[in-house]
Amino acid sequence: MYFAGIDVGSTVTKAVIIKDDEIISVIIRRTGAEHRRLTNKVMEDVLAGPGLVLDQVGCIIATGYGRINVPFSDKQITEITCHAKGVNWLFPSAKTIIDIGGQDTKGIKVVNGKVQDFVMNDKCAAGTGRFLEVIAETLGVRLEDLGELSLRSKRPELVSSTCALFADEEVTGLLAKGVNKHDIIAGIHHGVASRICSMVERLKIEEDVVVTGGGAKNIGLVSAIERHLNLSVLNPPEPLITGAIGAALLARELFDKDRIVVKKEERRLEESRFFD
Amino acid sequence: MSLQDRSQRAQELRREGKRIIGYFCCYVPLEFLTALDFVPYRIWANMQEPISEANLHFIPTACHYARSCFNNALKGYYDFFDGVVGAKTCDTFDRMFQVWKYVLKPEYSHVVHTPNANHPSSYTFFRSELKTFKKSLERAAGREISDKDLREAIRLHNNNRRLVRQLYEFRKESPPRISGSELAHTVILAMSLPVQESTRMLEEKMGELENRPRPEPVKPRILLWGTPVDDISLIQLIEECGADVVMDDICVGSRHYWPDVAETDDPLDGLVERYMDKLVCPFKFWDVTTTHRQDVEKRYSYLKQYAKEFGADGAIMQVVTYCAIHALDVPDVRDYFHEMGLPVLTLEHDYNVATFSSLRTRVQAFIETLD
Amino acid sequence: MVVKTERGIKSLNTTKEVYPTIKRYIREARIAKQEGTRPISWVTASGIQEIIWTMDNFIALYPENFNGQCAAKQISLPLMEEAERRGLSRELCSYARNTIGYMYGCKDLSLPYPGGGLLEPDFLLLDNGNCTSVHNKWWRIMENHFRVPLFMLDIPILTPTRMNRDNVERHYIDFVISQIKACFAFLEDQTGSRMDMDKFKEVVRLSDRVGELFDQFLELRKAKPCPVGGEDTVVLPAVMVYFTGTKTGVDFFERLIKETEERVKDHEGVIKDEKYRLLVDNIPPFYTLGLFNYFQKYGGVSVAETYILSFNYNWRRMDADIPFESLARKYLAHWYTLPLEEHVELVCRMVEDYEIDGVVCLALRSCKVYTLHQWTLKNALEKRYGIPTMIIELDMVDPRDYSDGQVKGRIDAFMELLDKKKRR
Repeated sequence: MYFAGIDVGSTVTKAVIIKDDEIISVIIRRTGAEHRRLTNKVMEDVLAGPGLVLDQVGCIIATGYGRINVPFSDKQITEITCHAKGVNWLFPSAKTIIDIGGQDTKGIKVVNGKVQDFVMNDKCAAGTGRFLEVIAETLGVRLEDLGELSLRSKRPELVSSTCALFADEEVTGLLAKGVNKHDIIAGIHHGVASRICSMVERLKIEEDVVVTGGGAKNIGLVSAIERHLNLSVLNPPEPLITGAIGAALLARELFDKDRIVVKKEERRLEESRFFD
Repeated sequence: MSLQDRSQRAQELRREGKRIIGYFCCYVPLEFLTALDFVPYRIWANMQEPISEANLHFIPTACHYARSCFNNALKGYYDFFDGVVGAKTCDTFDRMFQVWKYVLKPEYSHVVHTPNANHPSSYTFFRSELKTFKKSLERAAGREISDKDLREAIRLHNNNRRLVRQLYEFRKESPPRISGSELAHTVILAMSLPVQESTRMLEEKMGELENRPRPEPVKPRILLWGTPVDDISLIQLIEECGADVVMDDICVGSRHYWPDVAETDDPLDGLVERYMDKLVCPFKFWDVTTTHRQDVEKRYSYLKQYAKEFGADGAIMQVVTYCAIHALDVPDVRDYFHEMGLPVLTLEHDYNVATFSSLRTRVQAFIETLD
Repeated sequence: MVVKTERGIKSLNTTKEVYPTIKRYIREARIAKQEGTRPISWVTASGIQEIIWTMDNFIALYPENFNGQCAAKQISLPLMEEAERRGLSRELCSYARNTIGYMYGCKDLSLPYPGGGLLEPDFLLLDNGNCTSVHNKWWRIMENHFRVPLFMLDIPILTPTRMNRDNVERHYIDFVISQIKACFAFLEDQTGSRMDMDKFKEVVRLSDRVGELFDQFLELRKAKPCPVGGEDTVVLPAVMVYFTGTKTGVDFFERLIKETEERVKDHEGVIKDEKYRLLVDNIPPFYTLGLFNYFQKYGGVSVAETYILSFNYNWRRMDADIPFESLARKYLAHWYTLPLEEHVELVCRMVEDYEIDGVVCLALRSCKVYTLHQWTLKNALEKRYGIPTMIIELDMVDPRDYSDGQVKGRIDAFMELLDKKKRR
């Protein structure tokens, strides 16, 4: 039996299909403004890989920011529960998860694959991928290069503003003063890490700590977090899909335990009609 | 009746010649208003409409609840008031009342100062405050309150409170016959009517509930703590995420209805006792001469009782952004819930349904952990 | 760290003495603590100095003043983050967050704390006369942490519907008097020595003298050009908080007046060419007091500030022979406890007396009580005098929401507006 998880994030949509205890298909696609509705395309592609059709999937769970509007899912579960499940499957020793997404950052405390407590950032973009995106744009570098570039810094230049707009202004000022980019980026990472850690520390962090989400791909940010917490973190092979994996695992679990009634005839593999 | 029309009856009564007094906060002793045949009407905020006019008078980084109340007034929603009465409990509401008075110049206004501490002198002072309030109302009404009138008003309000508490009894069932949102709806309407009519409405509700079948299925049971909520949207959001709100510790709810006024020889004695000692609100500062543990027990043990009696599985602590008196209590209350073995979700919100989508993930994830 | 904040540059010598004097005070406190001669108390900075100096057998330290100093030393952020880690909302008073963060995390964070840090208290004194909601909770949290006795002086507001400074109901005065007495009893318990009535009267007399001198000083600032600007006066609350009711306080203000009088006599202004006289409302941002000097670039001088009126200021002479009554009246007439109407009237009078050209309202993100009504004040001033009033959003301690470029941009535009208005 096949099970699917689809994680519709604010910037990236991820879909995973599992069979038994194995991942057999993965799709990661930037969601983007115009693509937000097209979760059906992502699903079609993830099915196409192993040559499946929708009806072969025993249960589909949607998660993430856009979970409400996935017309072919059988149930919606929050990404918090899904991350905990997925990370526990990858790293059974994990007790704390730091998920750094495009629009929000979460800290999750896990016991036996279940969420014990969690924190999430509020409306503000400080400490999220969006913040780094704004800065990358100002500096004229690619988001995915920030990590590498920051490692070249010898003397990080700290930026004190937490507001994305104010920080952006500070960065512009630093550039004008001739501070080099590496030092600015390292300083920004330091600031973002500090904000993330002071939020997650409300949970009383226990090891092992796993970092997931887009932010986990930024080596500069991850090492800044490690310095702040004074410990080493674990990094999944593909940190973007832990939520989708968790969703697929939960689909299997609910199905196996008869805790869900799947009505395949109600699934509609079509565009989402609404999106926030 | 929909909540949007909650002022309908008060407006009708005014046309019939009754005088309507708007009041903030459950520390305003309504018994005096009722004794003089004034209609007390709780001043509501507005979760459905964004704050607009009030932004011309108030900085935006102030309690959304207080600003929203004032916003309603500026929009003319409270033009049917003959006066406004406040209680000095929190600083923000005090400032808001001051701005209200300064800008809108109500015909009649009065503030009852409620001491924070429980020094012996606080009781003497508060007694004088009540007498001053009584005199001020008597002047406005053009007649005096007899002890008999006051006793009768106390009985009416006690009876009204008793009925609301009976309504809450239905929430002890699993699953409860009355949902959290329905109960909140009823209580909000009850606070918008003269006490006699409010009591009649509650009696009807009771009769209807007794014959109502139990719903299905059993869901996680939530105790809701925090700042005033005078709209059902937040509770509905929790219900949509799959839980029942079975009990609350908020002032548009149990805080307002739990304690009665003791029927004492001198009615003032019972009133002083209720408004000084029996009402609960985090603004209150009790002298502590013992340990932190005893302090916490003294201030919050009723929460333990609520959790037990209403069978709560988890607590949601909601605080409207910038409410200092609640936000500064969050760490202590949260730890207290944890000690009881209750999982806790803390939410900070802007008192506006348009901003609630960001709360949904938190609430849903929290309820998933309770399953 | 990006240098985006600036220290204030002062005109007077007297005001430069303030920090060294306070440093000395703190040093003495440290010695007293080490030797165990006098207990330490943490006290709200709202003004019960007369009680403190009457006892004169313990040392009062002021967390609020400490917070300002932390901000000036640019070390508030990690302290506030510590408080936030403990579950306090970021939207809460930054003073409270700074002290609470310090209380929990001072050892682990080991920052260069002003005065070497706040010495741990033996008991706490809380006077909620200039802020109730936050002060009460904040002191309660400290009480629970240190497990030391606390006394609260519960000061009611003068309810706007029926009172003002000159018309206070009797039960209000009696309430405060009985609490002042209870406070003395508490202090006698804590310190083991008796309150001396003669000393009390003397302290009230000295306190009144400080008030009188302060009034004289305010008068002097009405001169054109203004002899002393906001960058100097911002330290006066510290003097009033620490030394009201003492000879030190009286001597300080006498020297201050002497120096100011000389400047008035010599027509020596804060700047050479004073063009605009500004009134600044609210607590200044301690991490960038240089903001006061920034106005000078345009010929603007802060000639009047509401902040300095909000600390233990007796606006009318006290009768030292009835010290309880006099003090109760003073404590009830605090800048904050005043009804809004009276508050607005006072600011209006300042606008007239100081011939103000523009008003700068500092909207403090985290101080609600001093900020909430600012738009109402702005509206009243604009309506009555047509005077340009600018609201700048920032915070007194938390630098995270401060954008130097943005704030200065606003000031630039405001000064241009004043300029246009003046030319017209």
